[in-house]
Amino acid sequence: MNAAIVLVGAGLATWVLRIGFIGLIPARTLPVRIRRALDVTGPSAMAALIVNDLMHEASRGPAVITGALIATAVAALVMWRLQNLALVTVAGIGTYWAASLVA
Amino acid sequence: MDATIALQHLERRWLDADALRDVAPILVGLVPFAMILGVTMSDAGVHAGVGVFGSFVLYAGSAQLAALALMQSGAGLGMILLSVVIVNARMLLYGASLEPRFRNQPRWFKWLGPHFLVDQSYVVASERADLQEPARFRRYWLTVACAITTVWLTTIGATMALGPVLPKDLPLSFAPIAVFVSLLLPKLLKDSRARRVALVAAVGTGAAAIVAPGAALIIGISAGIGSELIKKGSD
Repeated sequence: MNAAIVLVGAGLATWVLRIGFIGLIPARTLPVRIRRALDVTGPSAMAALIVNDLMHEASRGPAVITGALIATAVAALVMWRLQNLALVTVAGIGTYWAASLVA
Repeated sequence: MDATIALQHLERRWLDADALRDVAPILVGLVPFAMILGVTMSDAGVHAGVGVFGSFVLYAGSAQLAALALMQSGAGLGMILLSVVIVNARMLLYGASLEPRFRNQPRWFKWLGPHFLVDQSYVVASERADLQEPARFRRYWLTVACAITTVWLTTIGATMALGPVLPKDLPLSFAPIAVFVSLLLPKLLKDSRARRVALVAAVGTGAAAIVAPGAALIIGISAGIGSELIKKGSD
């Protein structure tokens, strides 16, 4: 199958999802209870994204997931103590890289 | 001196400094993901031009990887689109959550702006409480979109061109996790509601990843939001 057709079709389908509750059925028409619950989409999404990425790492073997879990703990510690986003990224990637060398 | 004035003018007219500051660390995490996508498309024999154009049109890395894998396995267009819809279903929730920001916008922005709705743009925009003013949100959103699109498409294009000479095991796959940890942790430290929904979403995603990996994200996020709905119902 032609890759261009697949990607354009997938792009159209995704655009419909993106505008679904913005332009097609505006979210303000949803019940108030649901709209209020949507306030927690941010933390839910971030937690889900972290776990989803860690599960992907787990599929690459026990050594990889061990390194990723240690690096996650280091990243959380650096964020908690120093609250510097760039340092968190550097410390996390550095730990992950060091763990991959040891494994 | 002229260059400084020109930059300040450009920033005042087009770019939002807060948006650039917010999105910069996230761009680091985008690079390895774009590289994986570029290599996958090269291996699948996709022309570089089609790859870059398709990446802009779809603008969703996980769904693009799923679509390419299904295409290579000979699946039909219907099956591929169904898979893309499942992987990207969380965009519906992101859109619903950001709808108040798009409400009083010009029509062109209301219909075209959401095209740039991805995990990264949603996370940075939803974290700011100072984007109520429509023009401010528009400038912020377009600056974030511009930065993400530039890094995303440039990296994909470069990887498709240079694919064979890149080392296979760059340690960058951890970058997105580090970014999401740094964005989530401050919320967890000060908000018990965030701790509860994050725990439910994390457990839900982990469990769903075992039985339905493609739908794990939407199941996990829905579980977190659902727990808030149930809590509010019982209060």
